[in-house]
Amino acid sequence: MSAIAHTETTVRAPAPSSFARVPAAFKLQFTVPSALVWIPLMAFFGAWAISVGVGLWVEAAGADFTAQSPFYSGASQAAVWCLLFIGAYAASHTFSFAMALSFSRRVYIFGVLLAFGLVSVAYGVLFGLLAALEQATDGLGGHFYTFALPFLVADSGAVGAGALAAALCLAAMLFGFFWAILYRRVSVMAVTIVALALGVVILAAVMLVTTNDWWPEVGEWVMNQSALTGAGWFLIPIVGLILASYAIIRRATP
Amino acid sequence: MDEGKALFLQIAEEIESSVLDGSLHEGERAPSTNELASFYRVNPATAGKGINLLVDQGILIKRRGLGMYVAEGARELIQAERRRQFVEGYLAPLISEARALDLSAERVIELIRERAADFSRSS
Amino acid sequence: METAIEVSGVSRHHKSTTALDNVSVRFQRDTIHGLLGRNGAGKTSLMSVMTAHDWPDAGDVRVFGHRPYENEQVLPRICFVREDQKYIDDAKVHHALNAAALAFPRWDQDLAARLCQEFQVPEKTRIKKMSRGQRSAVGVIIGLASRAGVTFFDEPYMGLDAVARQLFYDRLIEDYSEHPRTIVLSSHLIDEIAHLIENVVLLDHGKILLDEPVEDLRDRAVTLVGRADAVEEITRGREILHEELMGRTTRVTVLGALSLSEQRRVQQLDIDVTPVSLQQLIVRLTSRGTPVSTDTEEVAA
Repeated sequence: MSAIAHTETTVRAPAPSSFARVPAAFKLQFTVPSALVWIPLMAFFGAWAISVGVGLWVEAAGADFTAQSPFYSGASQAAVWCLLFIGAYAASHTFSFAMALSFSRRVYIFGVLLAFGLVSVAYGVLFGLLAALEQATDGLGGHFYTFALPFLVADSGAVGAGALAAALCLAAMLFGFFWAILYRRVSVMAVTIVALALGVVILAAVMLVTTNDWWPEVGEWVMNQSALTGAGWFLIPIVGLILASYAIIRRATP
Repeated sequence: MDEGKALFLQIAEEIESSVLDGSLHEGERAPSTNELASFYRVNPATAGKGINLLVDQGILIKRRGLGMYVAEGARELIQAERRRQFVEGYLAPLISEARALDLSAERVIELIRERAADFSRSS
Repeated sequence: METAIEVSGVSRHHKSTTALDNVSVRFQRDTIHGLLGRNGAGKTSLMSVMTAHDWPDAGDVRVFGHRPYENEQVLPRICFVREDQKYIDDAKVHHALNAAALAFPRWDQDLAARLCQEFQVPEKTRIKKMSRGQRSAVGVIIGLASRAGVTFFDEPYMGLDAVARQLFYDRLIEDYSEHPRTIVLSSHLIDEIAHLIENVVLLDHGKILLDEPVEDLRDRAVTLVGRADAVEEITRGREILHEELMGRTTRVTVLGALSLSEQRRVQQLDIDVTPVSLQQLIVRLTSRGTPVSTDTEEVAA
């Protein structure tokens, strides 16, 4: 840059890209690394350690886990619930500051999506690697399974487990983000109404299935899904939540 | 600063006073707009207006790229102008106050002589 | 002179209240503007629509010729740290400054570091644990170091002591002199900023009451003190902004400068004429619409 390039008049000449500041908005989400990095990691490994500990304790109490009757733990989803909360936290704690930094709402939400995407991919990769490790070592040598659960690894192995975990993670973060952004925009009353309306829709669907006696079909459909197609189905709520969040944030004020 | 007078005038007068009392010599570089703005804590536009006033009066001259300089003969110009203002600014209030106190013109002149003698002795 | 911000016919309603009522105003480029008015007059609303934090219900806003709303062509040249700015909860000052450094293309990190030292802002303390004044200082530092083409300071003095406020004014004038840009300063401490600003925009009940160079406002009003009957002779037919009576002596503030003949007459009548400070003028102008208070109340206030 030449010396005169520092004056306002000359900076004006080349039109900057509308997305030039997306990396900055992305990094904004990692301003405090504890939120999106350390806390989920702690929840992830903490839950895993506890579940392995529980397995060892149950075994010490007399149970014997074998290939025929292994120990399965549901602790792997602990980090997902944690990330749901983190998604909400990101929205409510960075939006105001992002406005002070003059990010357009579009750039801000691109930054958020990239950050959520990165965390989800990292979560999926970690999940898949640990599932592969469990498969390779017969459940850490003691038939303890936290990640390589049968319905996750049945069709596509550790890759399927990782893909489904990543999709679930992204959906969870966006779900938390959506509610937090909605809460910023409208009153608690309106948030409650939206939540109730959503509940009514789900209830109506359940009633529809029940009255028509479709449960066997629904059950069969779910059983027929593999981890990969399950991950695919998650794309629907993911895209829906992204569009809804952007529509809401376009008219949110700091 | 004094609320009664436009700020830029006060700044111009401050520079004039510096030239009169010798803290700023003819031919010397005068403070820049930004220096004045920082020193008096005023908007640079106000300081600039004060400087421009002095340029118009021939007290300061602008040298391109170098800044403002005190013109040769500036001191005399300022003295001439201040002498003109002396009657209006100092004598008129003196006379009106003297009249209110029933001091005659002769008595006032006497007082001025006494005071001036004290002044030159002490300095 | 070029216009930095142009607001044309902007209205903004919040539920039943009208924050801005058909406001049209231009902010000249590379000038320090004072945005003044009472609480609730619409200052923050106006700043919000000019910075795309909010949007008008009617009318148009242009910053350097662009509509700012969702417009990355112009947004990086705007900086508006709000008076009650929320920062990321667990962030420390250096976190916030690093984020700002990435957001503003003309950010000056050296200046930010120097200001942190001068304002004695602890860089390692979490912002949410800071005092009101320290948080205000963070906003001031971001505003100054952003070097944004238009920078807004929304009552930046909250919680700052006299020393820190003077430091802010000094650094503002210094940096503005070296890097001229458009600055909009909203403040209730009018006397403190009267010498810094070049132009005054006065809002009242969501409307522009005044938009003039500070220099032109000097002769806008005078205060006359003297015998009531003598003062009445001069003030007859003028708009009276304020009036106080003590025995036979009265103090009256009227709009408009005195003509030469009036100035002579004032001397003959032994009336003291004092100029009206910017703060007094603004107070008088913005309290016109409200019910006239008694003098005792005003002294107490």
